[in-house]
Amino acid sequence: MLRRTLLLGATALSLSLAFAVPALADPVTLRLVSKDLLTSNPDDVKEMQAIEAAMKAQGTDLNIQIVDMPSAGYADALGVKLLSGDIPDIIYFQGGDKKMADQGVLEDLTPWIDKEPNIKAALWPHNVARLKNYPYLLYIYPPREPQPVMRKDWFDKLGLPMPQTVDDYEKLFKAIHDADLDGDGKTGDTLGLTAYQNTNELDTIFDQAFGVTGTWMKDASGAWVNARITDQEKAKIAWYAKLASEGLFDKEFVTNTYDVKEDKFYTGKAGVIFGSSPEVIDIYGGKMNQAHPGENLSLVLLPIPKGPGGQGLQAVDVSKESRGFAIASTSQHKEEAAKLLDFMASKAGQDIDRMGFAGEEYTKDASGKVTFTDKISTWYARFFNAANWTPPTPLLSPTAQQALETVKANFKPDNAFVWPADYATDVDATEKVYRSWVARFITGEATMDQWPQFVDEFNAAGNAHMTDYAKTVLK
Amino acid sequence: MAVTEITSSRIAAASGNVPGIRLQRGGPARGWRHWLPFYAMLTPGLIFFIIWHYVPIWQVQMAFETVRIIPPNLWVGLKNFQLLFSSPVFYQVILNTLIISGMKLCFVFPVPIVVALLLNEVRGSGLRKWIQSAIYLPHFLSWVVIAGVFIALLSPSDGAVGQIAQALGFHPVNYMTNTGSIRWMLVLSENWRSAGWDSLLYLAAIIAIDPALYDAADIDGANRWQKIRYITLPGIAPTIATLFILNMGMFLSADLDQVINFQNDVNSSTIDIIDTYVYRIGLQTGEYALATSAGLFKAVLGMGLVLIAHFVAKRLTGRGLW
Amino acid sequence: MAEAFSARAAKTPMERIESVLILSTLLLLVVVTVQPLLNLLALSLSDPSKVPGFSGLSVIPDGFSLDVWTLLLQHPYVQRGLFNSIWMTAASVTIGTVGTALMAWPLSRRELPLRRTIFIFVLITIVFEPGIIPDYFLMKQLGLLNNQWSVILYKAINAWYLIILVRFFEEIPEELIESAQLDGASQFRIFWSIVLPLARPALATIALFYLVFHWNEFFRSMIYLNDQSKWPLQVVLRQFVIGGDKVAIVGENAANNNIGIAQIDIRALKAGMILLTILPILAVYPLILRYFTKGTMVGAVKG
Repeated sequence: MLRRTLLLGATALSLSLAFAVPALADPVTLRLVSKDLLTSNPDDVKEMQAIEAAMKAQGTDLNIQIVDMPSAGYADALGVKLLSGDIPDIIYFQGGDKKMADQGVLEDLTPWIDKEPNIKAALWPHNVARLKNYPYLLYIYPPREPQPVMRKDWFDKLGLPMPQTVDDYEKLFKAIHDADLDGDGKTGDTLGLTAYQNTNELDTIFDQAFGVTGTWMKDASGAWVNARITDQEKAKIAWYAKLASEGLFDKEFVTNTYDVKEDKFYTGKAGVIFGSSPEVIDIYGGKMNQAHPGENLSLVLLPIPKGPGGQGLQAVDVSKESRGFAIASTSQHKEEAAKLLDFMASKAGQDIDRMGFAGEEYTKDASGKVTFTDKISTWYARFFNAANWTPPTPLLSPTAQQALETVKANFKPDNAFVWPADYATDVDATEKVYRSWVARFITGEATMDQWPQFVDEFNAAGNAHMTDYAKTVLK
Repeated sequence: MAVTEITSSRIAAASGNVPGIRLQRGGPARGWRHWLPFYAMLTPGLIFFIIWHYVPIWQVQMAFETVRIIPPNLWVGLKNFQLLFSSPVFYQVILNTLIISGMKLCFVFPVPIVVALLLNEVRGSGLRKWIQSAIYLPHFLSWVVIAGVFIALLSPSDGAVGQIAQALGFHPVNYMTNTGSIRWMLVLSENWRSAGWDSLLYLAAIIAIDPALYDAADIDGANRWQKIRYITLPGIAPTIATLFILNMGMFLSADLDQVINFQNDVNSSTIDIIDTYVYRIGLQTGEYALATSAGLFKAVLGMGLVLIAHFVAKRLTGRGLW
Repeated sequence: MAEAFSARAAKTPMERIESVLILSTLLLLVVVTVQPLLNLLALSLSDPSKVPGFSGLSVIPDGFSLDVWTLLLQHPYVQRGLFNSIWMTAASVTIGTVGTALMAWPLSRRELPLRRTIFIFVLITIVFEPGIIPDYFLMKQLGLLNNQWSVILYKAINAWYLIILVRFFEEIPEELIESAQLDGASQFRIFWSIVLPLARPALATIALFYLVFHWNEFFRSMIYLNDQSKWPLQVVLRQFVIGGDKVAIVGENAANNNIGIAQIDIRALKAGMILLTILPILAVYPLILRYFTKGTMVGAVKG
């Protein structure tokens, strides 16, 4: 303890001395830690330098110091570092932030965002909602809503129209299953759809179609119930089970890792898979071509279907950001940190963050037209993906761009909220019950008339306790 | 002394059941001066243990506190333990851990011993080394890889095992999701991974057995199995006992790495063990202290099991851990 | 030696059958354990376009491409990681084997005062792991953060191996020790000249265990070492493979055109990396096996 006090005292002394010295404009050192941001990666260093130069031109003199952190085990390494008292100014969290926020280590970003000019305009609608509920993490990115894609040439070969309803999707899956699309002479060996680990991906487009509007829904009497046990959920799961029983949906989805799921897509074992973001859809396109050299394949995006309960993308959780950038409340340079984050949300910052460097990731000809080089495919944004920034030339393929537009047009906030720590075991137990039963319904191990059994188990596992709390929060 | 007399007294001495025959130790009790050099040898190691193990253990008081970054630490007593025990799931989890560890003790523990015995029977030492050099290899694969291999192999639709089963007329079962078979998959994969590697230790123990004993047995006309039963097994009994006791200390652990990679939605409740459960809850609550509480719980029970095993072994074979 | 004890009268038919059975079982074990690694090897040597859908049973590459191995073996990060791993592991193994042997010998003496206490003292470290946080604090207090010695000394002496070694030391015949003491040798001399040579298989086994343990260790290295130039091979590989950070491994120029090396499939790359971490152990293992010779104690008592 004594040592810590001495250290704090020394720091305070030296800092005050630093301020006392007339401002010969010593750049302010900002320590930044993020995943996949390393001093050994020349691109990372270059980007930081470009940011420093651009911001200096705007009047803020910064020295951005990257704090190295391994990307595998990032959350653990970061947690240990913070616990030991070494807290950088700007911290990227991918889990483990709530604990820090609870202890007041993270700065409330609301006043800073209000002050700065650019962030507000760059926010996506769900970011706004999330910041209102939990103002400690800033993560300007479109929401992750997986959407289904399939090979365009296969789709054309089938000759069906774009599926508009849930029944159309079933027809499409059946057609994929019955046709010999992979050209091996056998029919009935192709799955319509596959997924990995659980049904989360499917829920993105089928939740609303069956009327599952959010995490909590109102029953006939107007009381709040957990959506997992509603009749709408039941109808949806019954449909999944039907698909699986006819060989249209991969019964082994539970043991698929995402590698295996992708593999099935590239080798033609499954016709449709979900891509979790527009960028991922483009990656799938690239890998598909790598697996079929010379065929010049492209992917087509399948639309959101209409169903017995409605239509739309799954409601987006706005209780808090699950990952993002935070400013340490212990930082001595909060103002500069906020300015940096603001700059990254501005056009100038986004230009650097998303496009890279002229002459490397893109070329600009005399008329100002920008063409991207092949290097852009390995460039990624270290900070944000602002809602109000568009590249001069499209960065995404048309299919991926379409996916992005769909996400933008169909945003709907969910009514989920953050659980207090005492409910952790209930949440875990009920989720396990749900997942286990869904898997058994789909693989056929359990029949749908065992649904009431599931509901009872779900309630007993802690849902009753959880619903009581939900009623106080949701009003 | 005649060879046979040496043989029998050696066997008796080695196996620890020595009524009557005792090897004479040097005369009166030794003074402290005698033990000084030994303690000098112990010191570096003891210091190492104190610094690298006991200082951190002392800092485990965190288990009883809510960790704060900005000091001081709050004392919240047994709150962390309470959270663990509050869920009915926890008792299922403990049961799973005990069942899986028990199965491993019965079906995994003896296998390296058998492999070592078989290896010992191989005539040419070149061939033996060649086999040894191969069977230990899976030990170096991570569980991520091994789980992937098993899943692919056991896939009912296009795994090799599934296709063989179909050819034979059986209806293929997904062994990786079936709650009845998944624990056996854990046992099988553990064997596959470690049997070859663990056999090395037993082989080293077998080699330490005095060859004169085997020569004497040959003269007496013993066959292969008799030699194993009366010479080899008793010769390595202390090693087996030691490893058994040490494994009891880890009884409540049951290998987090393996289970996490084999878990999926369907089989999860059957193979959820203490460590995976604590890991999941800890992720949600961000409680480092929770994991430490669980660790303490396991440690106390583990220590208890070790001591019980030690005394049982001592009663049965005359030799325990010390 | 081994042949000597096994040479004897002609085998009975029963024994012949037994030998065949034993050998077949062992060979089956060999096939089952070696196949997956051959599969990985084949995967790493296959043509990139053939990698998706590569069967888990096949042991022959589909197409042929040395891209993965060229990339791995020539990459400076990998080379540095290899160097770090070798030197850190060697240091750990030396310290571990010496320290463990020094502790095991006194503990093998049945009349050592406080023997039981020390055993329990050591046992507790097996059943209880304080966890990453207290360990991190310790390293900080010792000033070893970002220093490779933090990794070298982590679990340098392992209680589990210690107890096993004690067991081996106990088997050393009392007569040898007694006679040496009567001759007036000091305890250190006895340890050095008599015990250690006799316990060669045991020491080799323990050394091997330490070798494997430290060689595979990556989690602590990741947490304690910030500087990438200090990372052992395992961390380097996990950073660039699990993270999917193909760019860092592939390099800017190759990523430029997405042809050739950049087309390496990440799955094949992973396979190559797994094998790369195993290869050094494969090289060392036969050397250790050389110590596994029977009858090291034969001459000692009779002669």
